[in-house]
Amino acid sequence: MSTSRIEELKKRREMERDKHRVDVRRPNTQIKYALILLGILLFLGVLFARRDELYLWIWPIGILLGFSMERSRFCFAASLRNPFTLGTTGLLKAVIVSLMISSVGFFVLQQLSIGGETYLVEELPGMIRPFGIHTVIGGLMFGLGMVVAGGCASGTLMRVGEGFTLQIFVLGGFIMGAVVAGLWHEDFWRNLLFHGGWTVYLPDFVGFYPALFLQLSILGILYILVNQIKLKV
Amino acid sequence: MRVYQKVFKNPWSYMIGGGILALLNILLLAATGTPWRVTGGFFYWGIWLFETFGVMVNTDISGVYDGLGPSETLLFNTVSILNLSVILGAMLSALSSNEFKRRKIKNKKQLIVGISGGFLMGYGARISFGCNVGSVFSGIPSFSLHGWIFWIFLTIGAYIGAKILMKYLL
Amino acid sequence: MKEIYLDCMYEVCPIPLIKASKELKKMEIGDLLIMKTDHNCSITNVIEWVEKQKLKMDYVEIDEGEWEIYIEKT
Repeated sequence: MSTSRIEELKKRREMERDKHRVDVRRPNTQIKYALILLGILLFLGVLFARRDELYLWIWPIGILLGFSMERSRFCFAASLRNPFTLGTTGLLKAVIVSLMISSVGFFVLQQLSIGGETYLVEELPGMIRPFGIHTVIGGLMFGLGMVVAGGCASGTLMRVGEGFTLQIFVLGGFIMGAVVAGLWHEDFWRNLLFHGGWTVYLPDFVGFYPALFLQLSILGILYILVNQIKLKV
Repeated sequence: MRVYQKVFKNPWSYMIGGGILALLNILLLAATGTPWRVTGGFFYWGIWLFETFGVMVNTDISGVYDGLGPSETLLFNTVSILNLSVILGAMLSALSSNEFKRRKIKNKKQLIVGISGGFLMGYGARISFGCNVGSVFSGIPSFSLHGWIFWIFLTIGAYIGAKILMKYLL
Repeated sequence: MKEIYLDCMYEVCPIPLIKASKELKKMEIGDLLIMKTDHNCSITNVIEWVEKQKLKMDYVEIDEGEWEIYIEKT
């Protein structure tokens, strides 16, 4: 991946760095903090689990979510922003594949919860919500906001954990926006929605297995398209 | 030592990350009945902040508590704890690979833009019942159409945002 | 055969890479771009982007959470 000139520079820089390190501090100093944090997390986990069993799952899964996102530099905002600013689509492809895997998993869980009887959409596991003009405007606002703020909801959480001071303020803005919308403007949006929006659970319209097949196919086609299109930047 | 390098030091590929996140979301849904979502927690934190600082003396916020379960409070509920665990998990990852650093804010412009972006995100997420996690990451796999629609307009919004970024913020 | 320094510390991604791509357009063949950044997602971004552009690069971690990236225009 590199040329001889780069190799030279790199070696020189590494020597500089290691000399500075030996003089000033030892390498790998943060590991001990990681272990301390791990201990705290275990302790808190036990504490929370005693309050409610759910946290026995939520706590470790959340930690793993944050860990995996940070390790893989997974940023949802970047998946949609990079194709337009840099022409790179690796993240977007990963998001698509991730959605395909979740679709299968969620499908199985939904099927298990229904068990062949009739069901109410409201009681199905998963996030099934009504859509309407609020989804359109909300999506536009969120899309714009996330690109400009340097991260989406999950990305902001991740970066707060990584030490980015800016993201703490982004979080503050996020909280403010949520409260303004959810409290003071709630009536405005509720009245704007026609019939409270349409809740569309895809299997209601095409059947279970067709819905799964349709969703996976669309995602698969998206993957192929994204892979082929060389976006000009 | 080489295991350390591989798991903790070198970054994982996007595909592996995406796969693991998907599996974790499935596990979360299976174990707790609700998938991954984020913004609800921020809303509760906000309400708690406003309450604590006495900002909303005249507003009726009793409706907010309807969403909370019997053993839950504004600060201590499933979504908020989930958010906290994600932050700490990311912190653990950064520390274990020696990459944690207090990254300061560069200038006022960055700060204002960041807060405004955050505000837009919070507002947009709240009115559409979910953010990128709740609506796309959990909504689409739940076969709910609102997830797809949100994703589409998210993309359009991101496109507009990218244009603004390139033109004015560089 | 110039060396161009780009300081992108404390910048939010994608700004480091966008700045870099602008610089690279102006550079001539044989020039070297040296970027300093503290954003870890920039590293993965750069690697992906450089592969697409068929340039040569490498990077060094110079401190906890800080990197120097070398990109040569070939």
